Amino acid sequence: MAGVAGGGKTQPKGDKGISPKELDKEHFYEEVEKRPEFQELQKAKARFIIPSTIFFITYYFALPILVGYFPDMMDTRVIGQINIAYLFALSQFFMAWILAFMYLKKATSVFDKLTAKIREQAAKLLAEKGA
Amino acid sequence: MVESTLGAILAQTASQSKEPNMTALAFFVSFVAITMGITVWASRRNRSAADFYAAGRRIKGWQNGIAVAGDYMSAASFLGIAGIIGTAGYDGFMYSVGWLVAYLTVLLIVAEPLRNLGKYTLADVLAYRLKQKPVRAAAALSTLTVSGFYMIAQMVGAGSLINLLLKLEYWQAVTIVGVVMLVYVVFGGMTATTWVQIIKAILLILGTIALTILVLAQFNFDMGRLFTEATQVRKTKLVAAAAKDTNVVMINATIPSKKDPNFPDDPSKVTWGMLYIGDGTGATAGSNGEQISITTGPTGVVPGVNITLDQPLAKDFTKGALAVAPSDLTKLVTEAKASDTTVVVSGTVVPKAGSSFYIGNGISDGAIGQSDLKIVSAVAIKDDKGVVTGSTVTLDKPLTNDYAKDTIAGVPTKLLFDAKAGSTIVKISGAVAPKSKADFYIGDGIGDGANGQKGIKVVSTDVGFAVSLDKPLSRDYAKSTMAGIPNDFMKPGGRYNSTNAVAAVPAVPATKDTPEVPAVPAKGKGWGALDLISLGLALIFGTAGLPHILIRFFTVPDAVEARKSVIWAMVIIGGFYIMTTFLGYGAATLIGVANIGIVDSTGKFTTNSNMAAVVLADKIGGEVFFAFVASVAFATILAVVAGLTITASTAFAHDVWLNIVKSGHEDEKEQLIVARITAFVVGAISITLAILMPGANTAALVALAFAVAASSNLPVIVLTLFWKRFTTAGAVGGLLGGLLSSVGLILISYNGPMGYDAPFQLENPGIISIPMGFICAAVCTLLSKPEATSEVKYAEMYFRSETGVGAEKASVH
Repeated sequence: MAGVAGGGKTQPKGDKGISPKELDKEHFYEEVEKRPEFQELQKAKARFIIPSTIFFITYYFALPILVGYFPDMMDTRVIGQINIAYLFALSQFFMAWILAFMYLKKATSVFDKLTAKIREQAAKLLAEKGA
Repeated sequence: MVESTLGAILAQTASQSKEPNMTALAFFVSFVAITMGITVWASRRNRSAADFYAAGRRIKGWQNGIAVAGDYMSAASFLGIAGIIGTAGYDGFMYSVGWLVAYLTVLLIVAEPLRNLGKYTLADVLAYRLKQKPVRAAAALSTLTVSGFYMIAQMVGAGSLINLLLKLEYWQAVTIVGVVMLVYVVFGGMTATTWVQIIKAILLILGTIALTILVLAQFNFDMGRLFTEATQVRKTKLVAAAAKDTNVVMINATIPSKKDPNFPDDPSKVTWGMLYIGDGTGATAGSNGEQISITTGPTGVVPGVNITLDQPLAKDFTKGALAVAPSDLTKLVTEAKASDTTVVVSGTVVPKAGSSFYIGNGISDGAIGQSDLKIVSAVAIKDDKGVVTGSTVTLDKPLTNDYAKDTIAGVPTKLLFDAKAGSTIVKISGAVAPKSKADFYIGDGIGDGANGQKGIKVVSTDVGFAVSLDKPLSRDYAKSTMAGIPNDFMKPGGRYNSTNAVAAVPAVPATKDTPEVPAVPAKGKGWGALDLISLGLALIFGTAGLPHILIRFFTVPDAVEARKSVIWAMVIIGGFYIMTTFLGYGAATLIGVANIGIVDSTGKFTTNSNMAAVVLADKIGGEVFFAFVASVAFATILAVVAGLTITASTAFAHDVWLNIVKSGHEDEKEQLIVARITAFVVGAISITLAILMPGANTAALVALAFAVAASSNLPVIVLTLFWKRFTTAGAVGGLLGGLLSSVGLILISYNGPMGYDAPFQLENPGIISIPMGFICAAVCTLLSKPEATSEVKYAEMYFRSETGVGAEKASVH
């Protein structure tokens, strides 16, 4: 606990020595973003995040819309006094948990690995440019 | 709000008393002592700005997940949702669902880019590629507004809670919360705040699990029985004890004003049903009570007042006998002469044409009066402010005598039921209670040899509805026993509905002796579905714009840990929110809707839906558990308030002071001093505001904070991350447009100062203000010139937000 750390002034650790200042070189980012790994990361993320977002927003708003406009249908009792409205609301919790874990799995197995590769390449590219 | 004046009102259902709860005090003090210890420890670690604002970014993902859950499960979640489910049923669960699903927006779109780009505040991300000063100023304003709304809601909840437990005055309670919270923030910074959140989240989860188990135990762990019972919730209770073999009971109810948007168009269409009476602890409404049909016809339910007298009746009186408390009832305003057909009487209620009319000096031998009169018409007399102070009444026949000013005159109140000699309790018609210590007269009262009793005084009164039953009760019931026409709390629409199918108390059509009493409806009129959708929008998009939640992601080392913390938070928050249904339905069925409230130090009971979980703990968990749950609720509020204060002070010190006033010339020591001073100012302002609005509803206020966050912050976060063309004008326009439209709509809604007459009739402005935020941001961007720097820096920002290159690192200690 040396207590010397300042707000964001610390030298980054485990980042192949890249600091924000060094990265401010012209067209550096356009260049790394054109690389296939970054493109692949973009595509992988879009393939997962866009459909998931559309899905969860649709699934979620089905609840207030159905409950609001079709209260009697949603009030149909299914198990004892438990109705569709309650079960559908409950299912939202499991939907959210399942989607969150799917994202976690995808991110750990695909996104993080690609990100690590991209960071390594960016460091290399920077070293070449600096040389 | 239903108010009653008897301290003993909850005596047999709960241990709530007029005395401060010492066990709860002990729990409070130990929680504060432990967290103060943490604050001392944390203050030694606060060396830099990153330590103070972001706990040195050394918090682990799982720890931050618990802290996020702690920051999120506020008074609105624990007290508010249980309260809405407990008083309105299913619709309260909609809050639970929205508040969990909202984390998918945080997880999939916001959390990781935010951690990769930001330093201490939301404005760091928003101003990344735009002009610093205008964007930071607008973002700081938005942060302060959202946190302010949120904070007031928490303070109001804390005030009620301490009021309940320690019987302190509301302002004292709010001040104590404010001061303790300031100590955490000013000395402990984000590190102490984080650990306070973690401890509180664990306590809250344990308390909620225990309470859920206790609720289910009441139903022998048969959830089906809980849900069955929830379909037969009585919203009212007995306002007077009912003895075996009587066929009349008095239940409480409020009589809505005509200004209420829920005022029914045709109250006479409400039909009678079964009255369910019982303490609700049984598996069905009948097991510890019974179900009896209400006598059909207009006299089945009438407004009445149960009056306790200071001495017993000397003889029997039959139903219909005149029974009045003249000091409170209407009197002649000017003297009336024999042969007059028009008289002027006092009173705030204009009598109806067709009602019978009484005039005379009441009870005494030789009393003179008339009771055979009828009202032909009555015209209100109003003062300069438009308040009704009396009526000019035209009668069907002339008076037979002269009457002096102040002679009792008006629609007579009568005994609703026979009263036996020796009894000290009478039930009279009418919806207006005489004041305590008022003189009370009973008897037929008219003419020479008037047959009655005087010299009695009123001890106490309970206003309610007298319900006639078609057969007598089979056993005795204590005051406050749940009783009423059952409401189905599993059915959607208890709060947000368009048909208003279920009335809490049915309407009472006017009869010749009683004024018309409308049904007491559930809240919400005509906009059920739109209200739900608007609320849903605010809930699921608001979380991703809440500054005090978002800055928690700056306390972890990197984006991967930020992601983990969202997952942890979702597991904890989701589990907690599912349990809110057990707390809410438990409160509705086991305590009864009308018993959810606070007994204050004067013994007065006031209904307060925020107290559902706490009063439930009192009834089914015993005194120590009640004290534990109440102090957990208190800890909950304290922790959230601390989180909000540090958010607001960071926004001011980092965005306004450092980046605007000092143009980015960093001086850490100075900045930390500014942050601490800001915390004091923010604390003082919110304490003052909370003291000024003690009646505010905590869940509604928090939902409004979500609407403001979703309208002003979220559009700008999304657009700056994903739209290259986005400009400074777009960011400022989006922030201010969303902020002004949401706050503006709140002000012109019935939550605002205009009340029920307000032009905007949706409870939550989200459905209009969130699109407004997006539209303002997009239109302002397209109308402004493209910003070269913004577009050049976009590539850099995008790369960094996706990969975490150059992100702020954990500080090394």
